[in-house]
Amino acid sequence: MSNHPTPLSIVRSEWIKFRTVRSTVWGVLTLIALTVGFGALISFASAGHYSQRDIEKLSFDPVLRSLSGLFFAQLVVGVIGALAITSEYGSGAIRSTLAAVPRRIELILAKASVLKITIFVIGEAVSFGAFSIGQMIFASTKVPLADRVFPELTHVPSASLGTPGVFLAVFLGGVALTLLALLGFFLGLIMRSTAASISVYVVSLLVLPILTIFLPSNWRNDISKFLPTNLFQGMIATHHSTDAFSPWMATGTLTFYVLVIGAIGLALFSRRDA
Amino acid sequence: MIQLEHATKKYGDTIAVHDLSFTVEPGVVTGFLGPNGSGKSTTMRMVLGLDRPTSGRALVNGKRYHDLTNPLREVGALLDAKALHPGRSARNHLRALAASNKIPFSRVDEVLGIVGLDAVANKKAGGFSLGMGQRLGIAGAILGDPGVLLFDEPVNGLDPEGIRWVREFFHSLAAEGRTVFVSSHLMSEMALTAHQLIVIGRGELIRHGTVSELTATATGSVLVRSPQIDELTVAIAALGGSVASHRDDAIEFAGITAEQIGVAALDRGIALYELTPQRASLEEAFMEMTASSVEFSGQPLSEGNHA
Repeated sequence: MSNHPTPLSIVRSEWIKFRTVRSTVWGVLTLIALTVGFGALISFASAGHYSQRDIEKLSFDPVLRSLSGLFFAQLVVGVIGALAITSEYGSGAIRSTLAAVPRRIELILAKASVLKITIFVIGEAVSFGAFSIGQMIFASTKVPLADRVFPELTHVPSASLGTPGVFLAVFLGGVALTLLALLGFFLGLIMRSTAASISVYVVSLLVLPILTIFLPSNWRNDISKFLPTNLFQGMIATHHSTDAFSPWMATGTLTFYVLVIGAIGLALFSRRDA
Repeated sequence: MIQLEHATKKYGDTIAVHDLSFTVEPGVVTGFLGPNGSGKSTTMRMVLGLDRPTSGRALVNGKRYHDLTNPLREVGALLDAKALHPGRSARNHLRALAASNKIPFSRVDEVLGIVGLDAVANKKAGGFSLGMGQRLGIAGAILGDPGVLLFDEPVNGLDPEGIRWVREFFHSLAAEGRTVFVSSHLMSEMALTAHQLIVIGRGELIRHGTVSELTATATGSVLVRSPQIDELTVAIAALGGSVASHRDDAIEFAGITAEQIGVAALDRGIALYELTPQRASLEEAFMEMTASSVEFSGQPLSEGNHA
């Protein structure tokens, strides 16, 4: 019979599960609100401040400013990712899931695919959305003649996707959110508890950067560029500092983390009792 | 068919199931009885491939669960009525299960109708009563129309009407030639539901047989009324019987059959007003069997205290 479970049927089943719980809907709405909404607010505020500080004018990065909301979104995608698996452990639903799909590796790959595709599509949409809205705000904010550092500039500088490196930065914004969602997912797979996995995720994103302050300064930059948040920042940067990885290096390193944590998660999951 | 072959499951130092072997045959309802913590759920989890046996094997239709090509079309299980996402509707819960095994969605509505949940199909499962949860779990078990069915404590939380429905439903599933394996700690319910019984205690097999065999092996007592009760008691004691209870002119003897008592009374010229074998209920049989299992594998309480 050809109606035994296939990777596609498992993906279909996981997609039904993913979209039929309210936490997914809230997570996605929060994601949009933070990236597009909060991004627009920050773009608006920095456009207003542009005239007031000369230092601002020289270092003004319209791409990074418009994508500021993505930094907050890092937390949301990690939570969405972790919940995709920990909610099954919390409720016990993992047992009916495994009774239907006993091939555990295929099950996790299907779950990860649903998460990956969904967050990638939404992540790209909000990344490009936040970028476009931000640039529209900058381009429509006039700079008084007296405040102009560059006399030919009548408005706050804005970026276009055609400028070298810009398209890549905005595109990698969505990729970074996808990778971080997978990181949260695999942490959830390892820890099986919502609270534990979200705690570890938040610590690695927000607390580790603070801890690097206490490192000797000659080590600090070498180590801190490996932290997930800084990799994220490296991925969406258009101006490259020597302290950070290039966008591709940052993407590769974050992908490597996801693969390592994922391999550990899969190895544990295929052995453990459910 | 479900087979356990010397299955042992340890969680750390705790032995949940020890060297358990039995076969559950199709065509009848097989009850799986044991006190709480006796290893019933662990055994069912091993059959479903959720827990890996430490040694031995658990097979369904001759295969390990993991190797089944069509899991839901071969085996259906209700392990825990609450084992679902509370925020998802009953219909979506079943649709997700159906989709994974390519079962058409029309079957989802069909099973919701069979278990009587069609009216609440779009309500969140988290708001269901325990009884409704059990019905949803049963709907999930029969979704793929499987030949092997496992139900862990299915009547928990059901009202009397629901219990009767489940009982008749299990009988009809077995009559269709399916293997129906039902665990319970409710002996009285099993007496009505099951034909075969597997009794375990402390993770070990105690008895395997039909319900009538198991109640017959339990040592029932015999109620006797006689005007010469003291004389009779001496005679019975000489034959190895003992007094189970004593009230005025009525006495209950244990460890001896009614036939032996009748012959003994005739030999000694003792008049009998009543001679009634007291049939042990399944519940008494069960208590007797599991009590002895606790004795032979249990630790004295004083030692257990500082363990």
